[in-house]
This record gives sequence, structure tokens and C-alpha cells, in this order.
Amino acid sequence: MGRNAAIVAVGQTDHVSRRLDVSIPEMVREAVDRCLGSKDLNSGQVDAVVVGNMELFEGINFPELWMASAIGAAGKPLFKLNNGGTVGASVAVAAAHLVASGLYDVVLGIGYEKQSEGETQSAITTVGDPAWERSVMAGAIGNFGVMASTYVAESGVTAEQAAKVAVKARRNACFNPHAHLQRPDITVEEVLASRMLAAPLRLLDMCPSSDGACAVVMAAPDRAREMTPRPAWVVATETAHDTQFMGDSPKRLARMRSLIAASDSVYSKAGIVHPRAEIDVAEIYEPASYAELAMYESLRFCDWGEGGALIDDGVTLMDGELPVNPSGGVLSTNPVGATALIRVAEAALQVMGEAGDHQIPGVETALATGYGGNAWSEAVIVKGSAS
Amino acid sequence: MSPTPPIDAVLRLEYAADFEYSYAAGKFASRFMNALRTEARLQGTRCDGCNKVLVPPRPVCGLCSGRTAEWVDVGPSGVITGYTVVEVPFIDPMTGVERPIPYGFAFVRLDGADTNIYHFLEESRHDKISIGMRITAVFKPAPERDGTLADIIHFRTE
Amino acid sequence: MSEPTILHQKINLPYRYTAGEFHKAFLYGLADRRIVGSRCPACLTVAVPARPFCPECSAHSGETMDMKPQGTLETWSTVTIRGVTRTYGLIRIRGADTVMLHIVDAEPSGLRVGMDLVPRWSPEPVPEITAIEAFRPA
Repeated sequence: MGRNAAIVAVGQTDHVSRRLDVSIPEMVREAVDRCLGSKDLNSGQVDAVVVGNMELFEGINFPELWMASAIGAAGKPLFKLNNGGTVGASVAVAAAHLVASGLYDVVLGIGYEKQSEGETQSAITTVGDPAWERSVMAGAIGNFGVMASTYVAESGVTAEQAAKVAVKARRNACFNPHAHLQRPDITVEEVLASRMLAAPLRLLDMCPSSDGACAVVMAAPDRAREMTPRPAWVVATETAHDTQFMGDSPKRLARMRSLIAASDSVYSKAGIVHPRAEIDVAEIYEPASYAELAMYESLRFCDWGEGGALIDDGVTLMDGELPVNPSGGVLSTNPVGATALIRVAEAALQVMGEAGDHQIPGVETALATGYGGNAWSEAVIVKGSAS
Repeated sequence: MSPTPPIDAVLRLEYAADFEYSYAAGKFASRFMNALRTEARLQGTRCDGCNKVLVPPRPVCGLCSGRTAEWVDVGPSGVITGYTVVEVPFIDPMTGVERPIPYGFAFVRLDGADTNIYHFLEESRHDKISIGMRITAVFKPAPERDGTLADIIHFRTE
Repeated sequence: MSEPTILHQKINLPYRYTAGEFHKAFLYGLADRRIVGSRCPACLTVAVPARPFCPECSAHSGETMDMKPQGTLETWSTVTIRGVTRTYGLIRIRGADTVMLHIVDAEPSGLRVGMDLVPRWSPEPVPEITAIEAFRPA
């Protein structure tokens, strides 16, 4: 990168199933107001805006036009991204690149989704190739069912181990006022008894469907230091793709080529050799309980096939050696276009020391990931110092 | 789009968006679909670079980005490499109405192929399905075939 | 060369649109034969239809306001699609700083920029833009 970029402010809505009280622009504005307001900033200080969401999730074409006034973008450079579930992380990376390149000093990044306005599983099904996949695919749930079956066969991970991830997420969420599903009393037995959606995935193994938005302010070094005492410096970013057809690599979850490529790249750029020891907290994009365990392996938090043991040993719990998703993660909150930006924003809050009741003490280095369409991963490392 | 009267006090309008399109599947898919329709024959393309046989057939290898040249016959039997049974109701975007559930679907690795295609399974009880299980394609009768992947009704246990 | 495979398909998806407070005020106003705008408390820009954020300065709109149900024609275009001819106009409601798009019910030859128009209300009191069937010369 040309120069450093840092996240200085974060804002989120309180994520819920249905926001009937606000339109999409009004909901997005809540996140923007909370973000700018957290550091007493105003939209006049923003040089450019990047906004992202999912295609076909809402019945709106050209959404950036609909919300230009809501996000203070009229008369400014405004960029839209639409790259699936990864989009929120891509918004953060694009904002970091726009600042690092020297083009703009202060960039507002926004992700949002109002899932209650459409049919998520139906819209995701249209991701499938019209000739080869679409008539068989069943949204994200069906895809993850198939992927999880291969991961179970590959790793021997059990339904109980996956359920522990589902429990961890909803319990962690109790310490995050913005989280959608907060369940202090949830148990492994309850997860295992919940309705089967697409074997081996049960209802409580999957992320919810949320309405919500997230915004971050990315700033150049001198501006960042003016705006907040401890910025979250974006020290490494990477994006990586997998193949076109789902079936080209049935081990897409057991051996996540895109996540391996993206995380290896950011580890290298950030000088991280032993991720489990050197990363203080991770906010990863885990759309299903099994996916989190698989991601532990592809992120090299453990050896192949050891993802289940990591949760058994409590390594990724809030008070473990490497807490994963203290915010409650995607399993607790999933306004899809915002979800990956929430990962980056939560990683930044941890580094800034502003995560409130789910703050992990002494975070210097945090990892965030984005994931979409079983095809695309994004990884971001934020640190407390820019070196 | 045809808005209907509001359904609640916050003014929530319900409507359906119906986008019709014509999708040109391309040279490689066309050759596959024609062979499927006329001869119930399944084919892939072999990559010049890594020698893998790819289904769906295509000009550039999904695994190594090499060029493909040779057409080879695959299937009609194969093996399950991943599977699920869909039990969650959802609206099929291709019809606008709920897709019938439950249904089994799988990654099918056709004999002679190195990649997998998604397709339906005849079996829809997930405890009767396993990875490694041998299956074979059930084709529609020739007069009913229209040159789409649906000319294979599903795969059944061998 | 094989016969090309062309798949004639569709994407059919249901949606639910939430209007939010300001658009709701505008749409319910129409059902009541009123035209509702909003005024920016910061720069005093008046927008019609009412909206939550100022189109000029992005500030939160303060309040809605009832406008006089009359306006002027800013510009227009006459379009014939599948045998149906319609004139679309950009209409500035009196007192507004913005213009709104609607159908103009008049012979195109008789239209001129700045002419006065009034809404022709639908007999159906629905909270939809079609509560105004068209604008016609005053």
C-alpha cells in the first residue's frame, strides 16, 4: 500500500428480523449516524463513500441512488460493490485501498441488508449457473448441507462439536447489544434437537436472517490520529476466489482454497507465522456452525481435522487462547450485505478497545474474514500500531 | 410489478418481480446438451494442462486454468461425493412457487470425470445416503428430452 | 457445430417494500387527496414527495408539510409503447424545490414550460402514487 489507512469509527444498527419502522435508506442512516457520532464526526469530513449489499435480496435496482441523501453521498465520489456475502469485507478493503492510494483522506464504508424485504434463500439460489446448478440448488442452506457432508467425512467432526459453535455464538451475542440472536440459556441438546433443514444442518446450526446496517470510517494516518486516540490500522488485506462451478472442488469447505489463499497472504504481509499464537481475536464469517470449524483449519488455527478439537478444548471461547467471534458472529447476526463489514468493524472495535462487554483484554492484532457464494474469501488484519 | 394495498400500518407493500430472460448456455454446454438429448450420452472435456476431465465441459480448466481440447464420454454411473436432503421450504426463483420438499441432492462424480455436478437423488432419506455410494443416471424417455440437464430425472442407487 | 442451447427461464421473486415514516406520510396523504412534502430544518429546502433526508444537504428532514395541490410543468416527453401514447412530465409542486415525475393528461401540442397543472385524483383512495391518475392543465 502507498500509505497506511486506519478505521477510526464504527456504527451499527440493532439487528433484528424485521425493521418495519424504517425504509432501507433510513435504516442505513442509523448506522451512519452512529458511526460518525461515535467520534463526533460529520458527513462534511467524508471525502468518498463505498456502499455494498446483495443483489436481488431487496426489490431495488440502483440502491446507491436510493440512499444517496441518506448517506451524504450527493456530490461526492460514491462506489457500489455487489460481490455476494463477501461484500462487506470488500467494502472495508476498497475503503482502505482508496485511502492508502492517497486518492482520499477519509472514506465512509457501508454495508446493509434488509432481508425481511425479500426471500433470501430464493435470491441466493439464483447464484447457481442457469444451465447446470440452479434447478437443484437450495439457497445457502442446501449448499452448506452438501459442503458440510464432505467436511464431516473428511474431518470426522461431530454434530455435538458443531452444536458447541452454535451455542458459543448465541451466548457471546448476549454481550453485544447490537446482536440479533441473544440466547444465554441455549444448550448443545437444544441445537441437536432443532429442526433439520438440510442434513447435517439443523435450524440452530444456521445463521439467522436479519435487517441491519454497519458503517465504518477509514482515514489516512494524520487524520486518523486527529479523530481517535487508538485507530485500528489496516495492515494487510487480501481477496481470493475459488472455481466457477461448485462441483469442481467438493471439499470447498473441508479445504477452503479461497480462504487458505486469502489468509496465507495476509499472514505473510503482516509477518504472522503462528496465527493461533499471534492473533489476539478473530471475527470470521461463519454462516453455519460446521463452517466455523472448517474455517479454523483453513485459517491454520489448528491442523487439518482438528477443528472439532479446538472447540472441545475451549480455545475459541471468549476467554480462550484465541477467541473467535466474541460479537456472536454471523450465527447470531446476519444482515448479509453488512455481515462481512461487521466482522471488520468488530475486529477494529477490539483493537480500539471499544468493544464494550465483549471486549477481549489487550487486543493488539485482530483478524477479520468475509465469505460469499462458496467461492470468494476476503481476509483483513487490523492492528493497534501501524508499523 | 403490481403493488397491492398496504398490509399493515407501516405501509408495507407486497409485490413480485418476474424477470424473463434467454440464457445462451454457450458452445460447450450446447454440445453436451445436444448429446444428452439425442443419445442420452454424457461428456466432459479433458484439460491439456492437468489432464483432468471436467464436467460441466468448458473451454478453460476450473482447476488449473489450462485449455481443454478433447471430448470424452463420462457416466452414466458415478459416485456421491457430497449430499444433503433439503427439508426447508423455499420459493423456487425459477417458478415463483415453493419447490417440492424433501429432496435429496448431491455432488455426483460421473465415472471418468474428475469434477462433480449437482443433481437430484431419487432417495430423499438422508440416513440412506452416504458419500462413496454408487449411483446411476435415470434419463427421460427420448421423445420427452429437451436438451437441458433436466433430461436426467435424477440419480438412483445402483 | 451443434444447435445452440438457449434456456428460456425466469427469476420470479416476491418482495416486501417498507416505506418508512416520510414516504408513508406522502402515500397516505395521497389517499386523503393531499400532497405532502418535507422541509429541511438546516437549509430549508422543501422536497415533494416528502422524504427522510434533505436532497440538498442530507440533513434529517424535520417535519412534513401539506402542499397546495397544484404545480407547474418543468419539462415533458411523449412516449408511444405498444400503441399506448403517454406524456410524462416533471412537475414542480407549488412551493417545492424539487420536481416529481408523473403522467400529464393533455395534448402534447398544448403543453408549454411553466404552465399550471392540477392533479386528477383517482376515485380509489389508495396510498399509492396512482391515487393521482395524472396531472392536467389547471
